[in-house]
Amino acid sequence: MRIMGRWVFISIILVIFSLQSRSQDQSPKSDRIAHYKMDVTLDHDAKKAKCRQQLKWINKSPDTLSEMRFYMYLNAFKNLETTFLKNSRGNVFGQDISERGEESWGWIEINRINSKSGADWADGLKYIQPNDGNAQDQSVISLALPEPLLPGDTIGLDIYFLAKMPQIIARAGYSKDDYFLFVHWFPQPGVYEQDVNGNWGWNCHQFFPGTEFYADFGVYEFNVTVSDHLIIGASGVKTGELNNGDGTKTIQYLAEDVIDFAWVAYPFFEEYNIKWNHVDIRLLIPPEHCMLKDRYLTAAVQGLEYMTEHVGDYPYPSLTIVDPPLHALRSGLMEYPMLITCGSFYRMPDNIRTLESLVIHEFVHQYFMATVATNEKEEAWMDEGFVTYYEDKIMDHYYGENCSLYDVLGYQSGNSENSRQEYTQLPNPSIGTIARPGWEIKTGYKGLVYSKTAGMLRTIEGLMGSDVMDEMMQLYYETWKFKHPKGPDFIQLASTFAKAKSNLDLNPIFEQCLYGTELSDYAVRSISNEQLIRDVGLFDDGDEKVFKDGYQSEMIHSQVVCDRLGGLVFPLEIEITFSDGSKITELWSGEERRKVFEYEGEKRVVSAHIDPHRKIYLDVNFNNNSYTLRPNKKPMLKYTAKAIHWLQNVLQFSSFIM
Amino acid sequence: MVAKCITIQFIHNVIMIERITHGFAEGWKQRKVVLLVYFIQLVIAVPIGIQVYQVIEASIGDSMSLDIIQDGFNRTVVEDFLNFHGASITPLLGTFRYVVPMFLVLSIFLHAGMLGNVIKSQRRIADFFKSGVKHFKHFLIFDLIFFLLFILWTIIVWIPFLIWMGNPLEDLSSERVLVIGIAIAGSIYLVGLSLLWILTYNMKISDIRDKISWIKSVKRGWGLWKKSISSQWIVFIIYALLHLLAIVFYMAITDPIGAGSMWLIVFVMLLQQMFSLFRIGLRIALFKSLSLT
Repeated sequence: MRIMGRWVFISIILVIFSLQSRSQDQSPKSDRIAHYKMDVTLDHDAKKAKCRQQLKWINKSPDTLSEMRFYMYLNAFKNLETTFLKNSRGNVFGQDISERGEESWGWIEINRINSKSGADWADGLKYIQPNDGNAQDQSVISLALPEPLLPGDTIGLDIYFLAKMPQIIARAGYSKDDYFLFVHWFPQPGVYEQDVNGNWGWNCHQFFPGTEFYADFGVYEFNVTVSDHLIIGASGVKTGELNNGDGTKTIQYLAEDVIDFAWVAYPFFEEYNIKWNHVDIRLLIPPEHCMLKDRYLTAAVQGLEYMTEHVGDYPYPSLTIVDPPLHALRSGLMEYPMLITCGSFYRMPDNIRTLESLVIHEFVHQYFMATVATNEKEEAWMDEGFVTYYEDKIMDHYYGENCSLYDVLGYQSGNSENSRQEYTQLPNPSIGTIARPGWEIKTGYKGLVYSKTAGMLRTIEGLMGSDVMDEMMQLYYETWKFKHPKGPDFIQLASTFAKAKSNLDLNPIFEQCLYGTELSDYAVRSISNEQLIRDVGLFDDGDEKVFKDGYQSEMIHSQVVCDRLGGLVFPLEIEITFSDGSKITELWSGEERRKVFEYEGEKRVVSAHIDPHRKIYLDVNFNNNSYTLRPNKKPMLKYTAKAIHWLQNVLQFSSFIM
Repeated sequence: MVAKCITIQFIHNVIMIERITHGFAEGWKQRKVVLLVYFIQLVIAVPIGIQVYQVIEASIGDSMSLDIIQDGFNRTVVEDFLNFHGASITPLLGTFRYVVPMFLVLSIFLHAGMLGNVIKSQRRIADFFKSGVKHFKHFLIFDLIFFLLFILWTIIVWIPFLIWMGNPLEDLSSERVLVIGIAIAGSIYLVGLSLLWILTYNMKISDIRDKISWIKSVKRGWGLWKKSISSQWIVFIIYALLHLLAIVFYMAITDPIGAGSMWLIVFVMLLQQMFSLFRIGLRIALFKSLSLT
């Protein structure tokens, strides 16, 4: 009996602990402002999804609301007059949209919107165009609330809508063989928040190209009924599947603490699953790409490993990677919470690693966009730029700095090198600032938003050191995960941290890089060594003045002239090498347009190298960072010989066909 | 029956080996011509090479970035060079643009000279020039015919392929079909091109052997082509494979060497030049082997 009693006691304790740990595991990570319960039926022949969406939304502001705003982004693909397609000039990813037939367009319409009491509020719906006033654009809808929504209150809405998918445009849509990617496919409330001036209001922009995500964190309970030949992948975790016995099946997913929900359907996906720590990784891949499955899964694991070690824990239980078939490639290369779409090619060679680069890029978006939920529309640099920085680091870490992206017949490129070139090769890298809304950046978007930001972060890392940079990013991630930080939030956190940790003032760097358009370019202009002539002129000898005609001394006066050619200012190191092989490192604030370093001694200066460790990664020309009086002729001869031989080969080949 | 087949096959193989060895022997016998053609190519290539040297020296010659590219390609160094000194290579490209077409015309003369010497078993440089001058006009016509057939063949193979392919991003279920399609169409295309090349070659040897009008040479070349196409094509393929092998061998030797010291650079330069010489010799060997079929 006593033994029994002890077991009962232990069991009770275990149950309590288990319940406690369960409740800890299940405690919300975010404020969960929105709660969706979606029941979707897909008619794959008509390319339409019929949906009932029960939405609960909490007014966390101090305002009483009389209006709600929703994204209706599928309407961006309704006709050529929408803001999205007008700004794309009818051409998205190289496809001419203007030649599309009736079936190829997409739209979304709300048929009914009921209040908690059952009243139909559809009359209060009205499309609005807060950004450009384009009356043809229906990507944002406003709902006038018949009853005011008080601060702290929750509104319950029962929304019945129909989503007609377009033939794929900018990821969303259908393709051959019943392929569907459902993104931006449901009415989603915008974010009611304080702007930079502290005023509360709706942040709910129209759909512009390249600006996609900004929404509240929430929970999505998703039930979809589809033909049983379709394989489904979705954000979140699969919680159930039911065969309806009529050729359809109903699949349930649950996604918690996410800002969006996407799903994919295709009959021919092959499925591969692995588990990494707490994360279930699921790869959906067309049969013709199956030979690449290990590369996909390895890249995902590398991303998880690196980000966990250097930034923080991956907060979600799953990750679904979708590799679209060729005909649906335009739905690839995109990130959604817990679901990413990539792109590959049949028998893609192992030494071309765009596949890995893409997986890692889209995966890192799970941190910067999905978890640290910045506003991509207004401050795209905060997700694309951060993601590119980590994509470069992860790729170079696992595959080698100079060959991580490709290594074909001796021609190599590192991922970082590639990102840097996207910025430095812009026809005009000073074309504009990066800290501005995406719709204002008409050209050079990738070079500026992705690559210049990544270059800025790498430069900061160079100045602070990698370990300190990791600490800073860990702090940023921990502070702002499941929140909506703005640019100034990051800047303040980083500046305070850098000041305290490295006594480095990051404010001027952010000011110049994010809000300025100047370039960074330092150059060693010249080196000169002059043997000093001593004792020339008149010298006092008692009362007399004695003339001396001097002598050539052993002493040498050396001069190193360094120029700041660009407008950006960074503190720099300059490595000076002398004729006896000794080296010294000079520090320069980098502010002056010209800085001259002078030496007097028995040694000559033979070379000077500004920023020899390439800490200032934003420098647009590394070749002029160094100057030597002992130029290395070997590479010049080597490439001259190569050029001659290459030309001989061309002549040989062209004469053969004659 | 089986023994007969094996015997025929054996004889066939022996003949083929003989043709190849004769070809190589001819390549050696024609060494003066090989050297002459080699020097002509070198004389054209060297000034451009010197310009490359000057451009590098003037732009990044004082930079320590050169140390980075000493042992191999470095994208950052090359791209920064192109971003800031890209304009300096424009004159080089300009030179290249007229050197290649001019050399193509010169090649007609060189081919006429080489073929003349090979077919008539002459060895002298004077004969090479004589033959070059004599057959230049007819060879020009044959090469124009080849060029027209080349365009026609390109249209015949690739236009239907492009129509079949449609818009691959929308019409094809899988790119596997596309990859296999390109491989098949590409192979057919290359086989066709090689056959056209052999046809032109036959016109040229008919012209040299029979000293007739170009129209008759075309007709005889066609007849010769029909008669010996299979054996000629096999010879052509063997030489193509030998050539490929030589390229792989050359790359395997030169790639890992780098440019650590002046001696290594000189060694690689010598290898490069030997390879160029070998390729010209191989061409003469091909001419000879084909003429024996």
